[in-house]
Amino acid sequence: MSKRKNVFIDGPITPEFISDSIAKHQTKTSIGAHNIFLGQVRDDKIEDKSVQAIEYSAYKEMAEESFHTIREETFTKYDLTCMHIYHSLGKVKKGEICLFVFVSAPHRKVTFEALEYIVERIKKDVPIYGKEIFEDASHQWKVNT
Amino acid sequence: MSKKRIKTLYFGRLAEITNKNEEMLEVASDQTVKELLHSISQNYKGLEKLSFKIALNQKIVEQDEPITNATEIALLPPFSGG
Repeated sequence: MSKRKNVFIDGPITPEFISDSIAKHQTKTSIGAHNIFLGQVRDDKIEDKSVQAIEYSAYKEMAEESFHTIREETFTKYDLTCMHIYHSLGKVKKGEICLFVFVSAPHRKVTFEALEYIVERIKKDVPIYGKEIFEDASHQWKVNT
Repeated sequence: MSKKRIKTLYFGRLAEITNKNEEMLEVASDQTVKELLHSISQNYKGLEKLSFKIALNQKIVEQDEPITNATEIALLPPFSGG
């Protein structure tokens, strides 16, 4: 079993963090294709209210185990050079990034397939909860569709 | 009948209904998840109306699973990560 990777980030995932992550791969010259998914907090309108932020919480130990399983199973299924997953905890404002999935391989095709597979697995299998907070401080619990 | 203490965790909407994230419960050790949930839902009004999954020691299980070897039970509403 490979080592657990740290997935959770307090608050939003910044564009600087994402660009640093890309820069770190410039030494890995067997890679010919990167593919990135970024989840952004959407200003959803629900009746006459709009989402200002999502506050994320998680069953952390189980979530880390789930991320690890997804990682291992994705590497078995797809021929990737590397894979990075980051998810926010705590408050992320509308327009900010809450999920960053980054896959790399020698050739492009597998990166498209693996990326979709990982994002769908995260939504389905990882015990994370998003509380959508409205401008009047009321809230509702996000539901994944 | 043997008793045990089990760490009980509540998440998302469930934590709002119970007004806590976790508690230690003293329970009969020879019961199933379903039986334990029945007694927990008697403490918290509205809990029985919600749909959620159960994890024993961080693994999702069915309701007929015995809690005998578990030290931790988590009540998990539908996930909404991403």
